[in-house]
Amino acid sequence: MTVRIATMGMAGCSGCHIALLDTGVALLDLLKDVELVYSYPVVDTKNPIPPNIDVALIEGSIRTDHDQEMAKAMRKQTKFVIAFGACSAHGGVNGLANTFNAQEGVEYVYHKTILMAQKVVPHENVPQVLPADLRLSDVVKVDFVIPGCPPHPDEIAKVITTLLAGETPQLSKKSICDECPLERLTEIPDQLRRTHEIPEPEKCLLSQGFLCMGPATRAGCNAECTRRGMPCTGCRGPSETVWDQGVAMLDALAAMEEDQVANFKLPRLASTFARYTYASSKLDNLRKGVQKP
Amino acid sequence: MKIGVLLCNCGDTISDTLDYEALTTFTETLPKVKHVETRSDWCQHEPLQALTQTLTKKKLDRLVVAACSPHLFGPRFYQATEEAGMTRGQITFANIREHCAWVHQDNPQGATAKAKRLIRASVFRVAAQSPVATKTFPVTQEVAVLGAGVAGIQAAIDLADRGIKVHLVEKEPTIGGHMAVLNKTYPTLDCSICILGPKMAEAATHPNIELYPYTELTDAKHIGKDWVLTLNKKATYVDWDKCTGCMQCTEKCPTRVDDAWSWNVAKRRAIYMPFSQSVPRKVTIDAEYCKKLTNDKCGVCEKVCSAEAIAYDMKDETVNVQVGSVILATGFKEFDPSVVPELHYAENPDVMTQMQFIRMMDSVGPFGGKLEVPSDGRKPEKIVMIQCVGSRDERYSWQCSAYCCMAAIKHAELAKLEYDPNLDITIVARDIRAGGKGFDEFYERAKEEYNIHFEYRGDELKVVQNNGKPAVKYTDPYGKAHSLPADIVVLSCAMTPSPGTEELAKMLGVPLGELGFFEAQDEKVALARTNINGVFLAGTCHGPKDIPESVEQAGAAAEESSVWLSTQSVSKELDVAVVNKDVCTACGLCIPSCPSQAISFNESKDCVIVDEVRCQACGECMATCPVDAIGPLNVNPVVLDAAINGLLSNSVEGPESVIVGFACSECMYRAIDEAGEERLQYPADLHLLEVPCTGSISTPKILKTLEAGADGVILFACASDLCHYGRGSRMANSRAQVVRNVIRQSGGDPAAVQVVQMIGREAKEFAATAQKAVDAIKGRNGG
Ligand SMILES: Cc1cc2nc3c(=O)[nH]c(=O)nc-3n(C[C@H](O)[C@H](O)[C@H](O)COP(=O)(O)OP(=O)(O)OC[C@H]3O[C@@H](n4cnc5c(N)ncnc54)[C@H](O)[C@@H]3O)c2cc1C
Ligand code: SF4
Ligand code: SF4
Ligand code: SF4
Ligand code: SF4
Ligand code: SF4
Repeated sequence: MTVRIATMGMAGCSGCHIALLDTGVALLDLLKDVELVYSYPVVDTKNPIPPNIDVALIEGSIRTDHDQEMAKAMRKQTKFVIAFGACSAHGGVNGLANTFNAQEGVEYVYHKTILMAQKVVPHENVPQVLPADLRLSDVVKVDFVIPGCPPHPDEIAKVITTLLAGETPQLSKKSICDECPLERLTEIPDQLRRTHEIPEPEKCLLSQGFLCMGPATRAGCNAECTRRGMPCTGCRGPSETVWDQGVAMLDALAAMEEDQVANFKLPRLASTFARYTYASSKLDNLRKGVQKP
Repeated sequence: MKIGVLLCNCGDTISDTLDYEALTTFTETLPKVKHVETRSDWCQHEPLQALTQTLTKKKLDRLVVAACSPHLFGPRFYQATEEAGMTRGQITFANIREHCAWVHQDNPQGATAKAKRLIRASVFRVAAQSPVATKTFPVTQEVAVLGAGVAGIQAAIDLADRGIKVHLVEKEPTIGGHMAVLNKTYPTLDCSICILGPKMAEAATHPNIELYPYTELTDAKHIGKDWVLTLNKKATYVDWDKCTGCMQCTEKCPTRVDDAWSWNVAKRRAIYMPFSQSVPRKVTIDAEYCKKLTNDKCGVCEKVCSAEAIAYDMKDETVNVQVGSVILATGFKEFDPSVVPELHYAENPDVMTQMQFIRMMDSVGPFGGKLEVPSDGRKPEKIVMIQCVGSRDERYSWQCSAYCCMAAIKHAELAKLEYDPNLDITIVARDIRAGGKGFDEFYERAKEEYNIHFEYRGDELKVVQNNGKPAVKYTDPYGKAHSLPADIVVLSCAMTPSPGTEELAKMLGVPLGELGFFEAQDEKVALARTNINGVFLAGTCHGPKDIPESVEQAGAAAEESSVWLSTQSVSKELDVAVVNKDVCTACGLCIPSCPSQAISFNESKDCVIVDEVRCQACGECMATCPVDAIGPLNVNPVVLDAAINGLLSNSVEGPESVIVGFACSECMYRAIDEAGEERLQYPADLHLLEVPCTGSISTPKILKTLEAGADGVILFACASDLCHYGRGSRMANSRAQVVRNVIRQSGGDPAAVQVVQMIGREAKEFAATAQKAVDAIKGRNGG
């Protein structure tokens, strides 16, 4: 029996679809048992969404009313919906837009940017921007999440293979450090260091003062960044037991440069500590809570 | 699970304010509560006896005591529950007296609502807690003494005389330390080695002392209550079983080296004995310079040694010793004055330290007691001594080194006594400190009998070169300039920590003070103790001291160490941090957060483990762990959340807002109790939860508490430099600032989070600051 699979793209960069292609030979194996019934890179997706889909991989966050409608339509036809990639899972980089007022943002784009000559915000025949960036699970029930910006091809392949075998896939419950080969220094670094500085090789980046989001970020990417000397930026979102990814890392830094950490401005807080998760973070909650009249 | 709740109205002093009927009905409806019993005298003998029976009869396995402060009668309740087979983890307290009824006397309604919340918090909390096991750790009846100066030797002998086996470890080839080469001691001018020599001999021959000369500690591990020390016995390249100490070899060795044991005023050979009274009386080859060992040349010593003791192929040897206690007696090092630019110590051979001066004068020392001007070998006529070099000088150390005024006077007297009564000696001091027994007479005698001159200086002082001779230029306290020409200038230098102190501190987990010496547990009442159980301090490794003080402390250290051992084995309730292996991701962040150095990686490095003996259950690690994988057994994130939930879940109606205060159970909690005893009134909005240290409350926890519905959070911490766990209070403040910033940046009012840092036991200050903090939070809500 072939399994009917669909993929879909919302507010995103198609990077996750590229990552799917990047599964390479594994993809060829998978395709044997799979019928790709709906997927914008390869089949015409103008038709209404076909029925009886077994698995849908939905990339991108929910940014417009159109995204919202499409997500609901897909949900109706699908048994197992997967939030595919950071945007879909946690709101993604798009979520940083939530630090601004959405309507002001739209007006800025149509009135102030050079390319928009007419200086009118179009209202007809175009999707309307929602007040906030949302993750997929904010609008439909999500059965599984493949996190990452983009997701790791090995993990994509593993999840699909598991599903094809009729089993439930599992994400690692631990954090990036669990997969990170770097040596821990177990001392509190005396200062924060910026990413352009060169770290000592083979040594934990956080203990050298680089802001590595590893401890609070869900494992599963094989720590691809840190093993190459790049601090983890947290693209896979919070690990299982973390209350809030960004706040957890802020806490880790509180021991280092107290004054500095206690003075970060919102853009820095959001883009450093919740780069991929702001839309679903406690920081955004706090902001929304405050903005309620 | 069956929870019992005891309500105490304390001879009506609680029920004057609280509505007991309402409290009882409320408590009875709480989940898992199977028994509620009200009395007015729970702390008394009879009720407690009855309690033991009730617990057994009703098969209760958790207990909440809603009464006075647990710091008051807690132990009585522990005992009563223990008799019923319960452990500490199964009982908690709701302090409805000092924290509630007594401090909200004019607000019965608010106080009753608050008491309900406090009781519910305790019920939820105790339900989440686990029984605490007790484990017994045997203590090996042996002690390691590190450092064999006068302090270490004294401590070793004291212990050995009590029948305790001592491992006396000395990094030099001889024991004795500084005192062995001091020539004479003040204020009596007794011969130093005549006092120390017999003690050195006793240490070397005592059946209970095993001596490890030329040996250093390379690793220390805690196993249960014991220490396993890894010692590196450095190769001496001489078989000491054969060496007779005849010194044939040292005469023939062609290699001359600066002699560290004469503070480099003289040379010695590559094969050497530190000084003639060395114990053991054996020679050692200095591998760094020996021509045979460095170049495979020479080999003279092997040829001349009739005992055939030379062993060029000797290797370092590693031994492990397991001991129940460690005494640190690693001494001091004379401050290196070459870092003081205005003294020109390094460039000018006629400027020397007191240690060099005394070595020059020693009749059995390297110079055979010739006193001469180093640059030209003349007989000196004028000597100037400069005090407080490296001491009382904010560039190096603000501390007075305590020995050097007396040592300078001693050396001046000796120079006059033993060399030339006509020597012109001036001591340039800030002032003379002569507080010890007989010290002031000693000083007076120096002036009157020995005609030693004393001059007093202000801040400016330098050594200049005048016609090839040094001169000391200084201004006196009135700003007048002076110049004193000299043949020899002698510097009275500070005591600084001996090299390697930092490594030792790390290995054993003993904290260092600001000046780098080991820190005592308490600088007033626990001078020989350290923060680490079973590790004690003797002598100058703890700070500048002279011989009598060093010996005194050595006696105390030996005493304390033997008391520690005499407990034979130590039981400890394992209410310590536990690690959830499935969650720990081995990031290692908690390791440096632990003030007791109790955390390390497991062998496969995939999670951390906690040393049950060292852990003090302070909870710093819990706050630090980003994934909630670690925390004290009964103050872990789940237990805390349960308690917070108990305060905040909304079925209790009351006129007040609910502000959650986390109070550290050390000083703060006592101040709060005190406020209760003094009936100081503060708003009933404030609901306190006891935590071991405010450093255990993480940034997420503060935000989570607000999210759960608290109107505000206040951290009540000790003064930042008085935190019992080092960084805890500072971290609390730092985290609160982070949270306040996050709230501010999100458009909210940071006043919702307050920190109070204050010195404990200040009840009035507590009540006042609590009022202020509550006002700040409520002001934010518009009242
Ligand atoms: C110039 C001068 C004159 C003085 N005159 C007097 C005086 O007249 N009267 C008086 O009361 N006091 C005097 N003092 C002070 C006196 O020397 C000290 O108080 C005393 O020697 C301190 O003894 P101690 O055992 O603490 O230290 P030390 O004598 O320094 O002994 C410490 C020992 O530990 C060893 N050690 C160090 N590190 C390690 C390690 N990691 N492992 C193993 N072993 C180690 C050292 O080699 C040394 O043998 C004088 C001091 C100076 C500098
Ligand atoms: S580099 Fe980052 S991921 Fe690796 S151990 Fe350090 S904190 Fe963890
Ligand atoms: S290491 Fe961090 S940033 Fe890099 S891929 Fe993994 S989760 Fe993303
Ligand atoms: S003992 Fe005398 S010389 Fe030494 S630091 Fe104190 S005052 Fe200065
Ligand atoms: S509770 Fe405190 S002492 Fe115990 S391991 Fe954690 S930080 Fe260390
Ligand atoms: S901080 Fe937490 S996750 Fe990191 S090593 Fe410690 S217990 Fe493990």
